[in-house]
Amino acid sequence: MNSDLIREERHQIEAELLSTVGRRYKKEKLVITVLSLIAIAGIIAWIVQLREGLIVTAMRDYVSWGIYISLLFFFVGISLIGALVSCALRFSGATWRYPLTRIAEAITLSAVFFAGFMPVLDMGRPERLYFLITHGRIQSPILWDIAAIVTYLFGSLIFFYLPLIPDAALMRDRLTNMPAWKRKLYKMMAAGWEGNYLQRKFLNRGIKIMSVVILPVAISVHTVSAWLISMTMRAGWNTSIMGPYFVFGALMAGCAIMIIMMSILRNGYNLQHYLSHTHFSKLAVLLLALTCTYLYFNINKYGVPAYKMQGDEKELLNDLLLGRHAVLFWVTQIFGLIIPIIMLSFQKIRNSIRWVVFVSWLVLICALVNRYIIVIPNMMHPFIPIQGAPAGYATYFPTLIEWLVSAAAMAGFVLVMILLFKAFPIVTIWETEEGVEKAGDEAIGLENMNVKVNVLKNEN
Amino acid sequence: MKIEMRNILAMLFLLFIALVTNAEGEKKNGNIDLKISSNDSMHVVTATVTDAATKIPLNDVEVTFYIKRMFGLMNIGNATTDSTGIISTVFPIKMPGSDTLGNIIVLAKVEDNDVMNDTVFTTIAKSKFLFPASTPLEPAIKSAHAPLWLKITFWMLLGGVWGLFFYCLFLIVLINRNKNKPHAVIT
Repeated sequence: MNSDLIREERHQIEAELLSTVGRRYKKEKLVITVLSLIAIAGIIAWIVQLREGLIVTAMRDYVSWGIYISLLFFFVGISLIGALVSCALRFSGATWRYPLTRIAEAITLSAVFFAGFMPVLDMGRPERLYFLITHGRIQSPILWDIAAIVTYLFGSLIFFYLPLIPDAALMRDRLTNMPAWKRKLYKMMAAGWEGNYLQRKFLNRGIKIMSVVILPVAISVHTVSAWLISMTMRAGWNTSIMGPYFVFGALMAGCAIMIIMMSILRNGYNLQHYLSHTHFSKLAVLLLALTCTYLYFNINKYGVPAYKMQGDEKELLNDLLLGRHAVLFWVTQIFGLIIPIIMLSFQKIRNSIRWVVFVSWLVLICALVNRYIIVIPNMMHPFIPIQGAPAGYATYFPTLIEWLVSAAAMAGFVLVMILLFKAFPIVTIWETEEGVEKAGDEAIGLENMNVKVNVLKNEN
Repeated sequence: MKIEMRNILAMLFLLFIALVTNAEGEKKNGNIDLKISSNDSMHVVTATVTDAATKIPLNDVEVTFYIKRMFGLMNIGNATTDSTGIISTVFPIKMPGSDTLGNIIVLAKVEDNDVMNDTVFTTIAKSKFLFPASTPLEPAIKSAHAPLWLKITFWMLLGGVWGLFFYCLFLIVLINRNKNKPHAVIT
């Protein structure tokens, strides 16, 4: 590749990707206002819950874990995308991952933050979390879960920051018209980066170490979350498949949200060259593989006990397959797995960004409902039914307070993402440049770059 | 002579009040003397119910016996006194104590009795049951203390990961220290 062309392309990449920093997203005001209102309503609802106690929720003796814990599993799940893109794809030598790493890491960071927050929302007395540190039992999966989530959050912060250093230096040097506090922030974050040999050596070493470490940590977070329920003796949970079942469900949901987020950012910030058809098509193949694997796990998890229909599983399975939760269960299986698998099997659909995004929405919404299916019906089938409890204690439908608090958590997740992409480039600039130099535009999935250069020249 | 209806009602009301007052006045304050003895297999609780004022045994008083447990009272039997005022009940010799010191708190209660006013008397017996808490459980998954292998595994994994995190933070410090270094080649 011609060195002048590379220099020109580097210039174009830097100019285009730096231009997203601080730029207003399409309809940004409206989006932020709506999300902020939801977040405020949720905070008020949480204050009411703290004042009145968990009696304002629908959680009672049977269902003591409601949608808060279902959302915990959902957030932990989608947070795995960072590990998938930054580690698994890195070690598999997939060069097309370069423009995607920061989006994946931002999803991880935001999701794991709210994952850590969900158990606190579920507690009637959150200040007692302190006792988990002072009186925690190492044997308890709850302690493992908190330890794993905190570790993953800290690790994700480092992993988000490390590749940001060269980009922060670029922002420090190029974005000189920013407000003083922002310039100060970028200078501090750049950590004196000049791109010299030693600095590159240390940075690469750090990224390599984090890539290796974050993968088992990410898997452990979701495995331990699965152990939270599978180490109890309840029907439906008392199975050794829960760890891998959660991990693959998480990877699938993470892949779906990655595609959705990419499409939103691509259109909102005009990043069509960097988040191209190639990326959507490759991620669609990945999503297809993950939905197939998850369907296989579902067949094992539900199919094997359903064949026997024995013991304590019988009532739960009747409830899921034919009873009061049957509609939700079959919706998750058909619209969340079978239809996406059929659709993604066609190359035409995989090559269409619109269809891939549509399928991803299907998968993501059903993955969210599936977390509800994993938690709630099982809690309604305890081994020893409670004697003489009021009728309402054996059913569960979230109250307005729960809906508001949960909606606020979702809104908060998106707001954190908006905040991150407001302050930093959406696509890692230096990694994209490195990818172009090493493998070329096509290999890392950039499209129509030179055409863009010509267009710019003509415009000038 | 014509008697008005309201006068009849007033008289009936006064009669009712007089009867009630008189009935309550007949109830006595009683005393329950509790004694506990034991044989090889049972504790025996003997209660002597007497009039608190005259010390004469009270007949026809139903007494219910309880043992105090952590979250309430456990009924161990009831009986009605005869002319001697003495009744008894039994409970197993291996009954655990009401507290961690091994004290069994026995209660004798009289409630809604026609002869005697409501009252409660208590006495304490020593439990002959050895609390399992006095023999600590070996460290295990389900005991209060974690087994050594679990502690080592947990802290090694956590320590290892956090150690690497801090090493990466140290690398950031090194990046900062290596700015403006003459030997560092700018690429």
